[in-house]
Amino acid sequence: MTVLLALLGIGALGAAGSAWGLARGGRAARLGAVGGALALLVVAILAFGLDSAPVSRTQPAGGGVLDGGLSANGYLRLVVALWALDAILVTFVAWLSGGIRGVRGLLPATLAAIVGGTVALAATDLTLGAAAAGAAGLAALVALVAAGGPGFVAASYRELRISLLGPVLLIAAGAAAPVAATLVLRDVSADVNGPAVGPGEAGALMGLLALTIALAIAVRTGVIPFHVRVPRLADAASPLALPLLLAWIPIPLSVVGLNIVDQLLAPLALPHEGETSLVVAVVLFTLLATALAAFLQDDLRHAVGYLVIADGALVLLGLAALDTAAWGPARSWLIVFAASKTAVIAWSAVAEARFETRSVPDLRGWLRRSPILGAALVVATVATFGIPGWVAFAARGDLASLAAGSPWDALLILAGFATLPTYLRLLVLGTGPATSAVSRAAPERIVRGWRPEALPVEREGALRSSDGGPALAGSEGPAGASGRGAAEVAGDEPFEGSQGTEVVDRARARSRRVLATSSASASHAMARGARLVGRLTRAMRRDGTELTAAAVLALAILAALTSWGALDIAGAAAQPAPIVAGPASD
Amino acid sequence: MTATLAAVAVLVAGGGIVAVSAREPRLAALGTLVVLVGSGYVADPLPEAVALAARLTGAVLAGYLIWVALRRPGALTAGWQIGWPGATVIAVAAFAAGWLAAGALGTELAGLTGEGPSAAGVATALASGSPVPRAAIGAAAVLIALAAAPVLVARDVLRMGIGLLLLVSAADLVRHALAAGSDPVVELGLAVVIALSGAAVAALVSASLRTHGDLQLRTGAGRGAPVRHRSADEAHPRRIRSDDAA
Repeated sequence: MTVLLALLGIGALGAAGSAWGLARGGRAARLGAVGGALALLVVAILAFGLDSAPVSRTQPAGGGVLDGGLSANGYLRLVVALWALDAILVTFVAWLSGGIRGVRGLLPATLAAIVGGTVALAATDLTLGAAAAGAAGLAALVALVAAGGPGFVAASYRELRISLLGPVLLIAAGAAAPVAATLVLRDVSADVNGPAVGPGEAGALMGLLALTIALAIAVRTGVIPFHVRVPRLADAASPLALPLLLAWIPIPLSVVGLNIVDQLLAPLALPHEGETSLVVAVVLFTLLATALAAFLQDDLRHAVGYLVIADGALVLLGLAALDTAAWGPARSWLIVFAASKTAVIAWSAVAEARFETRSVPDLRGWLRRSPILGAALVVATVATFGIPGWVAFAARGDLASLAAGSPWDALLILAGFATLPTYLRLLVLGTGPATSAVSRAAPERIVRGWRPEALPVEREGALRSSDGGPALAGSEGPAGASGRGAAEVAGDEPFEGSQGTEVVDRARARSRRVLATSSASASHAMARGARLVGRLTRAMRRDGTELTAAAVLALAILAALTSWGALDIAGAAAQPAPIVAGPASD
Repeated sequence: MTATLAAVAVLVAGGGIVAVSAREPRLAALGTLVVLVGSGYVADPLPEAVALAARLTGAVLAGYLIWVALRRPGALTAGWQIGWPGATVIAVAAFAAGWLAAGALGTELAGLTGEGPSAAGVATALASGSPVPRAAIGAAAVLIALAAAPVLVARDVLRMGIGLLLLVSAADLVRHALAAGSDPVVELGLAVVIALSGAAVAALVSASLRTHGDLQLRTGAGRGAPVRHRSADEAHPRRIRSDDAA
């Protein structure tokens, strides 16, 4: 249990520290970024160390963390570990793409959301779980406010609204469900003085509660008619923050909602055909409509947003089933959804950054220039749908068959594959003749040694260094040339043209001052360390094109492993929720 | 004691009226603070002292952060168009409806206590006829009725945020009324979430004032899709780099 507490503490400290540092710039930003990255790494390691034993329904009071308020379990371990691993890769891509500015907002938001999500998944009380899921949702605002730009206030407004509305609905439903269940049991139980009666009004109330829970999750996942938020969010947020905002943050709330259904509604086995049909109809319409929208959409971010909505809608089938058997498949699908959509969104973000366009038609020929990215998209597509025998494929089938009878289950399964043409469109488009946007982008090729990253720049009046030192070359070489290690360590961004030369001058002057004032041995060690870090940074930036693609491929492979069912995902998802026995869970 | 707690529920409802109808933003923030603080105390039995202290701290922190965010010039809100008399009428009706509904539910549960497998421990205070859970349900109904419009249709960042905080308090009141008791860990968690929610509302208000100079929501600015609005010279958009400019 101390592992869980340590995870929460380090995550919270990392979130606060990185938010504080990254908002200030300069040395504080570098410290914040390094601290946040280290915290993320430690969280990932600690997550694998969490207790994975199934939670006992009769856990004694006082067990676990915070007087039994939190309890680790196998599902929590898998979700947090995968979330942290994905976050590390996404953060790495963000840093390669935009330097420290690229991780501003993303890093603290990710850590805060992981902490909130961990509490939500470990909570032994439904109210605490719902409240923590709301707190995890609020982390989205950190990423949005840091991104700034036009429309961020409106996007933050919508995120705040759904972040709090969902938990409010779940808390109310979780409080009312035991009372309604009591009345239902009164109505259906055989009275000694008379025959048993139907569930009556209390049964209708239970159906209403089921719809309330479904509403909370539908709003969060952006199911139609609540989908308008998603493309606008995609416009306002940083592309690499979207995996967090669209794929991971919905997980805690969804799990808590499924928890209420599994613990309080499904065991009563009441006939709720009307409610089930309504939810299934909404899911079916969402699957078909978003698949069509994604296929027709020419804006890459919007198209990917619709792909995310389509897969998120499948979670609602776990609620519509109102069956305890749907607990495991629904939670399995949630992990698969998050992992596969993270890979797809990361692919989209890297493609947009590399080819400098969001227009899908302008991406024609991308696959020829980016084979690693192409492999990533293929693997992510396979992870999204799975193949027979994989957890993802089985979850799709199980959820459909539990939520709807024949032939609607077959239709739901087919509708779930309706997004496949969009993936194929993106892949086929990539094999065509390259557009100018694609042609001018850096190709993926590993080059050992020196590689020019910018054209030589002549700068008048800058032939001498700023401190009056010896003359520099009149024609500055391209960024990334040898001897720039200290400068690159000092700066946040890659060098470009004259700005880079000034940075070099400043860094060299700073290095000389440091060398002059420090003791010889210490300065020597520091200089060696700085050179080492500089060389590493330079090497990573030099091969940034390939490294970003490789990171996306790694995300896709992680998604494929998840979809396959590595680490017994299906078993962990089927474990009981850590809700201890009590009056509310009878 | 129960009469005092029921009076706190009425105070919470009054705070809700002020929060949604006041035209002075800081007065609205004050009403929100009353709601956030009071809603933690309308419970029978009362939570432990530590839990109450945590709730008080979280609520005060949330209210204070909103108060601070409203220091900037331009923080003007239109309030609710129906004004405080209209809001009061809605609140009275909602409170009466909530009180009566809770009474009916309590009567239903009173006949069950101890008979069914789940009867014991569910809404015990309500089943025993205590006025506190009835007042809590009444106050929750008031907050839901008052917050619905700001949350669903308001174009004012502050009003929407206040509406959300009222809904959080309403959910808490419902939980207090229907649950058997309260766990200190849960109260602590709720206190943290209330403080974070207040911070989020304050951040949004501050961002709106900094960006637009007022609290009005502008959604059009976010539609900068490069595909839909592309001019002729942007056939192949690319960023201008410093070396290009040189």
